[in-house]
Amino acid sequence: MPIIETKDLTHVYLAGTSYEKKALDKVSLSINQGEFVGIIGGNGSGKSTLIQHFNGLLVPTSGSVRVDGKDTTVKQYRKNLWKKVGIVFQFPEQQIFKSTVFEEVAYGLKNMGMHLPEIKNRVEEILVQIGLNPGEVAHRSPLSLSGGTRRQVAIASIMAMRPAVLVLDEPTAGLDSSGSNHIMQAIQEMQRNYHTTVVMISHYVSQLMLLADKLVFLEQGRLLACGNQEEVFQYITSHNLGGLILPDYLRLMHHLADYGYQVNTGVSSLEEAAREIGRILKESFLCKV
Amino acid sequence: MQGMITGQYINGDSMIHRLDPRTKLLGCFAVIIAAVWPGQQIPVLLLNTGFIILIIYLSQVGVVRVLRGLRTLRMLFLLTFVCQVFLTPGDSLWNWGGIAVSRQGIYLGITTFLRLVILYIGSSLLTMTTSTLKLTEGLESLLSPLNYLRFPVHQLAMIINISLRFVPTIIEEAEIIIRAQKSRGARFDSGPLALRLKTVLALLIPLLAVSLQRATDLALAMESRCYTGDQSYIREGSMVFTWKDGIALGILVTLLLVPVWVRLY
Amino acid sequence: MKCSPCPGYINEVNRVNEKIELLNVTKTYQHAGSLVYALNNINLTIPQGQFVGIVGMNGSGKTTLARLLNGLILPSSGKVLVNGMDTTDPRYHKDIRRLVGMVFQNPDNQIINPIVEEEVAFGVQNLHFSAAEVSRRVTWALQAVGLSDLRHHAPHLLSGGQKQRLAVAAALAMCPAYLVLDEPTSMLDQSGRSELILCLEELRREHGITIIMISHVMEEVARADRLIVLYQGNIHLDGSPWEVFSSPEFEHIGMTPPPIARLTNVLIEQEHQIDKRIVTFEQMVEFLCP
Repeated sequence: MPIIETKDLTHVYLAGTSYEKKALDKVSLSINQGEFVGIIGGNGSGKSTLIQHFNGLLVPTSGSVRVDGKDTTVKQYRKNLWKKVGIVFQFPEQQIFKSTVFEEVAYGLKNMGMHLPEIKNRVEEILVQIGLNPGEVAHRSPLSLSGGTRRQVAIASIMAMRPAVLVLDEPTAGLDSSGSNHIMQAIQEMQRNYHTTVVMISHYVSQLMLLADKLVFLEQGRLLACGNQEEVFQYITSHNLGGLILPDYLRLMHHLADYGYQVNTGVSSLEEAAREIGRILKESFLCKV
Repeated sequence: MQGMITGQYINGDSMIHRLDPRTKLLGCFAVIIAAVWPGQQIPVLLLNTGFIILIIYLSQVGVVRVLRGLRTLRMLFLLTFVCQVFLTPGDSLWNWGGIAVSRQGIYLGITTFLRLVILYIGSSLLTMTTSTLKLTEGLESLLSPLNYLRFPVHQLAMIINISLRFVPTIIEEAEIIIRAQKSRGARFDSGPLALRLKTVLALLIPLLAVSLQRATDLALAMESRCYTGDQSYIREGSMVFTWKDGIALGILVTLLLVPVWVRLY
Repeated sequence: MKCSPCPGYINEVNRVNEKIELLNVTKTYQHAGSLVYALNNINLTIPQGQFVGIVGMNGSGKTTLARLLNGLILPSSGKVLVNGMDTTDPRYHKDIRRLVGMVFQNPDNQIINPIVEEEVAFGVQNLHFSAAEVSRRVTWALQAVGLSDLRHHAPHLLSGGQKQRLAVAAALAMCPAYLVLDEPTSMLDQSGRSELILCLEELRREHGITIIMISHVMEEVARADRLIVLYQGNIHLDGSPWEVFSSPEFEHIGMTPPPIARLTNVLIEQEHQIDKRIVTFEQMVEFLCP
């Protein structure tokens, strides 16, 4: 049974007024436990609206959303869903309000009713996982830390709750490569240790390519493609939507194929792409001779 | 949330739009006085309401649109009406074991309702026909005599302008923060009062932090564009007080304040 | 209205020294009782007309460097000269900030007016030009960044990319010779980024404005004429994007070249015939599909 399942999920903001907006249009998808799902799509594609249905912040205007088998329109279930599905929104460091790192990371745990000794253990564990030294940072004010570190603290506060599903909206936006790496490593470790299901919105598609079992492509509120990477990229390029989404070397492959070269457009890494181009160059070189 | 803010400026070219902002500000001021002046009779209030609706019609921003905005205040109207009706002493019309409804109560309920309506549609008229820049310009001009008292009129105008710019942004940011905190189990609308007050901190502190950072960044940005703190919003030749303004003000003052003067005598 | 109202203005300025120079510039801060060197004895000359990219890990001094360029920050020692004018001299502040426009990272935190048109006019008005001149410059600046249709809109309704273009227009209306952008795309999504970069490239092409861009997105700075890498307050590398990306020092300090540059490198290692120094997608396509 999938851990998250939506059927014809439609969401309309401000229905009935002149500001009505259909953010999601009959989206049907299913996410299995333990999967790493990447959500890609441009501006206004409905990504942010979609994930808010997963933890009950929003209810469908029509259609259904089932998390762990239960319908999210049931109010009692929805009120506690945040414990099961943890969402890290964009620029999560902007939600920090406690005076020490420890209290900030412990906030969700306290709301869950956990006791102090266990909270202490969890906080220490998650800080180490995310790449910080608890001894150094736990008693410091989050606002005295650098931007990247604050991001790590904010993400740690959700991960500490060990949700069954971890949803992240552009977790590495604005970070440099080292900050980015820390966070991606922590996510992967969490997936390994606790079989967490991970749903990640990202426009760094190359990041998703290495990790995602499944990709979901949204455009203007509609789900246009859902499947493994090759299927989805094939759809994107065959519909000429790839300009902004695909990594450069993949775009290159498709461009070359359109131009007439015989290349494998299903390459999954830079090295493979290099091999393909190398082959073309050799052939054309030979032809010149 | 975008576009939902009632009273937002509607671009247009009606005779009302083209009036000097100072006229409109003074007009709004007159409306406010007319609305709160005590002891007015229902016919007078109805006349005022009708007059403002006529101006709204002339400004082409849409009478229906403005009146629909009244719906958002329906709870306020209901509450005040009920309070007036049941809590005003006087000749009782009905009496259910202690709870009396008096004639005066009903009368007061209606007049209060009308006053609130006048306040609302009057100020909507101002903000819908005057761009924020013109409002600031007009306000700065009207307050400029205070400069002689060393009151920082320019800076006040700047404060108003920046607030107008950021109110929608801050509302958006508040919504985002609430979402994020709810996702960590914060409860804003249930639970014991003490807990709810603490939860409000989860909204206020991040908003404050963001605002402080914003202030620092804005100062740098303004300095980079040669702002030195004493520039005025008043543009040369931008506000022109014409005979049309004179007439408009004249009509306004007469119609809205005559009943007030009559009462005084 | 392609022709800029600016050339007449630029003629007033001293044409002889048209460059930004940093001479032995050091900037220090007090932090937790000890002296921190944000920038350490920097020597740098940026001539007019270049597209310069500045990269480096967080904490390498990039933002400090950017703010020295228009006098928002003053050096602890050494001199910063903009077209010959010393930034520490308060008499030149206005002129320097006219010449060096600045766009910041957070799109929202640099827009102060509730109407697009007024925002663009803000800087020009601070220079006390006539209403007619202000209007002319505002129209030109909005057209140059492609926001003419949104002239009467409220900024909070704009997308991230549009807000940044608005910030560029606001700086542009003051007729700068140099435009410094401090990580302008880091809070934007993919489409916002490419919007902004295309806009900047066009500004440089059409109006000859020097673009100095700080970024940590290598694909963006790959399009620059010149790339400067800062490391721990020093200039570590300075050259064309190809020279910088292919230098072993680059990866040594923890930076990663953009995918296309890495691709080119791999192909060169495999001894294929690649004459040109290819670092961007367009260059690679041009090479492979003549």
